[in-house]
Amino acid sequence: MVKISNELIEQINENVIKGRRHKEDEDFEGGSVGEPGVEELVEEALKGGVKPKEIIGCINEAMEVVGKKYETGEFFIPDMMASAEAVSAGMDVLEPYLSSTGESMDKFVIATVEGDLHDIGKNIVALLLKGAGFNVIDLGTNVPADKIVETVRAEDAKLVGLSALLTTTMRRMGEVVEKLRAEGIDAKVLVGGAAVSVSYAAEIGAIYCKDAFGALEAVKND
Amino acid sequence: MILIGDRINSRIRNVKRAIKRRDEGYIRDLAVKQVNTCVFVDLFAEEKSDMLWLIEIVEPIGGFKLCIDTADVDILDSALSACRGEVMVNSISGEEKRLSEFIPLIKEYNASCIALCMDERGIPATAEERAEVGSKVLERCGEEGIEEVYFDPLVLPISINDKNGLTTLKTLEILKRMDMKTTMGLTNISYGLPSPSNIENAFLALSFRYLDSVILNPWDEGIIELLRACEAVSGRDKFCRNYLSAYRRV
Repeated sequence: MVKISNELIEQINENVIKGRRHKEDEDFEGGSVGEPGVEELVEEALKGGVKPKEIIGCINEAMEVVGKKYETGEFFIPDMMASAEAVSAGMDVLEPYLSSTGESMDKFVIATVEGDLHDIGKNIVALLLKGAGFNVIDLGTNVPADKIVETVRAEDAKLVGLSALLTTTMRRMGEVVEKLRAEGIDAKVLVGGAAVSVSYAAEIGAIYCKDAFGALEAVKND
Repeated sequence: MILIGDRINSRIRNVKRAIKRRDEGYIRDLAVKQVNTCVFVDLFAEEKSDMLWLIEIVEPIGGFKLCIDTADVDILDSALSACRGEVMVNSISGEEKRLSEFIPLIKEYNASCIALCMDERGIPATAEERAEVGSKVLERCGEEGIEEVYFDPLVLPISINDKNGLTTLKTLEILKRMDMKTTMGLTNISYGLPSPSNIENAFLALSFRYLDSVILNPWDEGIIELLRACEAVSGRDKFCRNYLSAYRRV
């Protein structure tokens, strides 16, 4: 049993890195079709009694490898998307097991601020954090500060991610942080997007994230 | 094919710096290098004072028209009153606020415009929904007597979703079926991928037959040559004159 579960964990790790969601997916060389992907492997592991926590740990490690490969230029954005999608599917399989065992995932509220409709970067961050085992609550684009604050309070989320592409809409981020603090909410706020800079993040008391992996780093340092 | 040059944009770091420093020589050079290829030169700046300065520097060069790239009605208003020649407005969309703010100005200055196939909900996921937003904007423009509208199907990177290119192509096809004029920016498609010009070239070749205009980097000689070849093979270059002009020995 121990041996089988170790093998499954290893296979999950490998398939997350390859970005294989299910058995129809190819690996980098066009092979592996018909072999189980992350979805099937997670299912099998759970049925075999592997603890959800252990699976999440394995997925996290795999995503870290993906992040490193992206940084060194071995992987490109589509590779990252494939891995994140595979993980996201695996998490959907995991979710019911988590709630039945009483384990819970940290909540992460994410939004593109009011006046801004750009969501490519935000969606990558949402997908990646979901893959890292967070319960991501995605409020979409053009979200007013009040709605963000309200959601963070109602969900008791400890993490908030804000995105803006334009200099003009970036200022809304400061407004969100201010309103959160005024309500006595001390959630950690991550900011990112083309217009945002390290200095602006520091000015409003938020954490600057260069890209999606930056966001992953920032939430892991908790 | 109506080319819109995209080089004077404060989102490009060096351009942003030149605008902040009021470096006239730098900006003028950017514009001069677009004269031969572009019908329109797009101007984007986030601050009104920057936009007005750009117009002041770029418009007198002549040989092209200006395309005012902004989402801010205040900037648009000042920019349009500062321009002397014919102008294109980039852009309106299906957003009610944008329509009600921009349409009176477009009419007042008799400008042409670009309309993005998106609305308050963001960029629709499917080609059918995008085309529907486009046709609503067309209807509205028709009621207001605005005729010269180029519809932008919107281009998202294929690195994020491998069907993004296809969705844009399908949108263009539907827009064209409804006899609407079209334009789009090329560079977004290749974001995050190596050898981006391969991707942009392929995308231009595939979308060419549905396009009346394209927004691109006019200094990319490869893409300009490809564009001339596309015009020639699709019957849009009488006696191949445009294509040949690059090869004549005089």
